[in-house]
Amino acid sequence: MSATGPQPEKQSAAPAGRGPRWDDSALQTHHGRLATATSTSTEIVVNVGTTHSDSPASAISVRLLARIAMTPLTAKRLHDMLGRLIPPQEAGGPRATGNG
Amino acid sequence: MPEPGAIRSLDEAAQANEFLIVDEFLQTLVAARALKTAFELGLIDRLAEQRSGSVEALGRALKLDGKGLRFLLDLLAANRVVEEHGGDVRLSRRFLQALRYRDLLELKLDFAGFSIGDFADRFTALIQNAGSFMGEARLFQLFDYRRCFEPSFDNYVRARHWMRITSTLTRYEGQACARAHDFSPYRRMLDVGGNSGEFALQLCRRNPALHATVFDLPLVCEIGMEHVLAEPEHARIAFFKGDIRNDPLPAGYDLIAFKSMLHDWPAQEARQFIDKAVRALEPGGTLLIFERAPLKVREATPPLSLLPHVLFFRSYRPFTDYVAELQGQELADISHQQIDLDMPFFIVTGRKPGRRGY
Repeated sequence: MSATGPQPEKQSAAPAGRGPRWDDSALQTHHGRLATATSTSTEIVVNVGTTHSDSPASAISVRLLARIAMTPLTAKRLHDMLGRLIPPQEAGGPRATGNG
Repeated sequence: MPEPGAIRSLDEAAQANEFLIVDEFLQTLVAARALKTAFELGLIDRLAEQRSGSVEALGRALKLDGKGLRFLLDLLAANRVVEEHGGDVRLSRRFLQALRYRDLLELKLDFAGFSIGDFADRFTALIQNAGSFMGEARLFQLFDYRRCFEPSFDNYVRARHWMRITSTLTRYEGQACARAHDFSPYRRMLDVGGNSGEFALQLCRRNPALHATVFDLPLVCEIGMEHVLAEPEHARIAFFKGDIRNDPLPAGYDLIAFKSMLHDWPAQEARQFIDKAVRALEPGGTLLIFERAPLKVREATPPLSLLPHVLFFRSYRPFTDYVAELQGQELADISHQQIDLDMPFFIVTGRKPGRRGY
């Protein structure tokens, strides 16, 4: 696992007054090997985790890194974006941007 | 079965194996198919949310013509899923109780539906020539363990399909096992063929000192890791990728369990697996077999909900077979316990001689 953050506040390179200004002071980057999702009537919860093993011949344990709850609409947009990102990735082609 | 309203808490309900109530609504093909249609059309969800509704309002909401809706409602009423009072339709109290186990109810509907073709078209082959049946049956293609090694996406989707079946059944069967056997003395459990880790999860949930390792095929372990990831007990459940036919079992466990696993294999392989487990078990440790017993079809014709298990009838052995195996392994304190769920189950246990070193 590698995680970064919390970092000193920094903002995107977008010029002031144009586009969103991102506060990423609470940003953490996780490299998740496992991802699952569950739902309730009001939200979708995405769980991101990783695995750990002392050696290739030993048991593998699971570690939950982050749990992100989102509205069904946000989840739908994420689903749409993932649907567009994954086929080019599998084909070895260029990756579309999240908003592409 | 307790009377409606007699159950005061989920824990009490579990103790009474109340989840068996779902089978009441899955007795015949026509009744079960009508119920599945009611789920598919959103009729059950609508009635569950709104408590009741007029036939006309239901027809408008579900975009159904009067004749179709009437026919469906009559089938559901005959199956005691719905009741009608003064033109209002509502779910019966009994069905609302069954709906508490919706995952099991829908799983059984799907699993029985999946098995209908094999039963309708190939039952003669099953009786006459088991080998030919197994070669042709969709059911046996679904549980094709040869596709649980390579981590392709296609294999992942296939494995996840049948693991949904085994995990959902185990969620409830495992609770019954946990109530019937005292797992509190154990600290380290190895669940051989432990699948998604659901059995380990049920036991860890009830026994805070227990740590479990699931031994199964590589792709099964991958899906199992996803299965337990979001559970509070995930830190106590590990996975060990292997093939029991070729790989040694890891050591250091005071409990080694086989849950609904041995019946998948011919007697000779099952014997080898038990032998391997006994060798891996710590001295003083316990070997536990929780298995399905043969169906008692002479006493009553099995309901539709048991159709998949009817197709597996050749696989189920009496508990005496496993008791004999454990005696042959010279285990001590061999005991057996019968548990009646939707079909007969049993627990057979034996202790490896020697002193516990933990």
